[in-house]
Amino acid sequence: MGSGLELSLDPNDEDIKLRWSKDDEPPSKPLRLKSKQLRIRSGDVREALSALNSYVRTNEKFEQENDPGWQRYAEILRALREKGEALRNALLIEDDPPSQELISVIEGLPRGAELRVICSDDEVSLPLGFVFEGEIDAPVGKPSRADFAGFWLDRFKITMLVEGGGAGPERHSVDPLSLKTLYALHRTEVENAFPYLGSDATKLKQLTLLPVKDYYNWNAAKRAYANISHAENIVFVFAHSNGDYLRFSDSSVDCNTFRLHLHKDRDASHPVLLILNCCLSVSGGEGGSLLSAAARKGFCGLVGTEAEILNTYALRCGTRLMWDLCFSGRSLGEALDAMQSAEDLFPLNLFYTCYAQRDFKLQRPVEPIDPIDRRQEQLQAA
Amino acid sequence: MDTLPIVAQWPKHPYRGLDFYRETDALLFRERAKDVEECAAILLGFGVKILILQGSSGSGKSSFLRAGLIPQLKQGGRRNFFLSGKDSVIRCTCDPLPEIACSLLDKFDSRHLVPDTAYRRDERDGDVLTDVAVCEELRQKLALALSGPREELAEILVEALVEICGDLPGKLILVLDQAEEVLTLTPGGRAGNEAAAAFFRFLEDVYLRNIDMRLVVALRTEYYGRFRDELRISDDRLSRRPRSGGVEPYLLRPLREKNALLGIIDAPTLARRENGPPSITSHSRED
Repeated sequence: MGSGLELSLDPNDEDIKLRWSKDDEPPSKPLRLKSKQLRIRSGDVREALSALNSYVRTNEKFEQENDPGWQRYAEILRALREKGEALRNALLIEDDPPSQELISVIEGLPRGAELRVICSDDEVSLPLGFVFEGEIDAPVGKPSRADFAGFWLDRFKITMLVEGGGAGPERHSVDPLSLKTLYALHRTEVENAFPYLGSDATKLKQLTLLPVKDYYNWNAAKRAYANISHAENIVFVFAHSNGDYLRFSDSSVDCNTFRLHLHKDRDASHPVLLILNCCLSVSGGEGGSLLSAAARKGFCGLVGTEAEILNTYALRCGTRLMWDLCFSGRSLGEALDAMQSAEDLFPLNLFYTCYAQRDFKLQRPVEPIDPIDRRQEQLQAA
Repeated sequence: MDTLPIVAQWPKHPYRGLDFYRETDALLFRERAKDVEECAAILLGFGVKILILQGSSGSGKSSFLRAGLIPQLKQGGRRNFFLSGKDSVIRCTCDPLPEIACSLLDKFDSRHLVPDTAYRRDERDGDVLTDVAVCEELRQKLALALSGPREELAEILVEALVEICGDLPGKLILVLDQAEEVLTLTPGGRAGNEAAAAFFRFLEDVYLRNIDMRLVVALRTEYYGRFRDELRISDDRLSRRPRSGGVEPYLLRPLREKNALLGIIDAPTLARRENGPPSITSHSRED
């Protein structure tokens, strides 16, 4: 894997086993980390992210009159840095000799290096993008991406993978003619957000014209999904979530049922990518998580969020991602990087974590469908 | 015709008769590649702790474990570790915990747990996976507990496994065959038998404490329901862990298809065929 680093995280009673390997070497002897401590630190980071989300709700355009001297933003960022540093210290223990070897390897990694993390259980999903190594009190002005310079998300290309998932590399390149994209959307939230989507509204409309279009009820979406199990799929979900349940306007589904529906009668030779555009969709947790949905052969993984995220932002981030994947010919990794670099989506675009194979892409961009042609098709079908 | 890509030597005695296949017979083991692949993927999947392999009597569970699943789990760069001797399988009997404990003691006595595939690269991996003093303490506790109440043995086994699995640079895979014996040879089942109760408690604790190991439990289909009933992983008591229970069943169906059976009959002759087709093959096939 070139200049990258691979970490494996496995639960073991009250510990989390961390193994690492660099440049395709066999893995290290495990480091034993305190599971409870990591869970608390991860929860603290997610809380700090929620505070940032709330800040954006009250000051979306970063106007100084709403936050004189950017004091409120500085406080939230400082808290996030502190929590990120605490997570780092729970992960990499300075006075522990086996940890020191890993610390020096991480320090030696170049900026932009790939960090692959393999998780075998819900209990080991950590918001590693928000591990912080930098100056907590670094001065803050108008909110900008530069404020996140000390976080791992800025330093590494982080890919988290769930054990048991994945499709062979030959299946990461998908023929657009055989691709079926399914949108399972929360009707009320889409309608509420739509006026605020700007140019993304048109993009979303275009995207949902692609087969097999948009559904606003999980049962309907489930039936549509069952009909495309022998095709390459992207399943895009925009719903309320607490990391355990997905809630649509008039239906909901728990993570275990969601997983069963997605895996049922699935032909592993046709890859599936999940975009779970909901709050806390990769946060893991006790009693199950949405991550398990991607833990099946043939599933290229999922992209989801580490914390609560405003609906408008979630829809815009998801739309950009899908647009670049479908119409711009970008790979998932490139599309994600572009979305996370978009200034108008900052800072909530940083909440997304890639639990999927970054080289997933279409062999060529999809031809956009003219809405008028689509209506004619529907009339003819009727 | 399917084959398993296992690097192994051709067995000295390729005609197994009614005996089950062993790990050394992996090259003979045919027509189960899909089952083997699926089973391995389920076992090593996200959040899975226990795989219950069920099949009717004579469906080939014992051969499947030894000549199919285990070689698959050992191949490539995988870091899966096994207890027990030559075939990495522990027969349950009506009192499985001492069987497991003795397998573990054997490993302690050899002072290391290393996978069969060569994984040692440098000192970082190390072949002594647990501190020697810790190993000795666990060994003594286990040896002592063998003669005590089974409930206590279960607790000490769990403690030992937590310690060992914490140091393994991979997963420990415990393979238990003929698990129906826990039920058939103890008339009272869990309620009426200390050994059975302690065994099920052990399985529950492995799950509940989320030890970094995987259990494969093979048993006859007709005992699957009762076994699952005894294994109370869906209890509210265990709600801290995922509701899916970390238990996955796999039904091994008997091979009935003619070409598959012919493939199996042909397999032992393959090595000889390079030097000319043996006449016995056609006779066997006709039979």
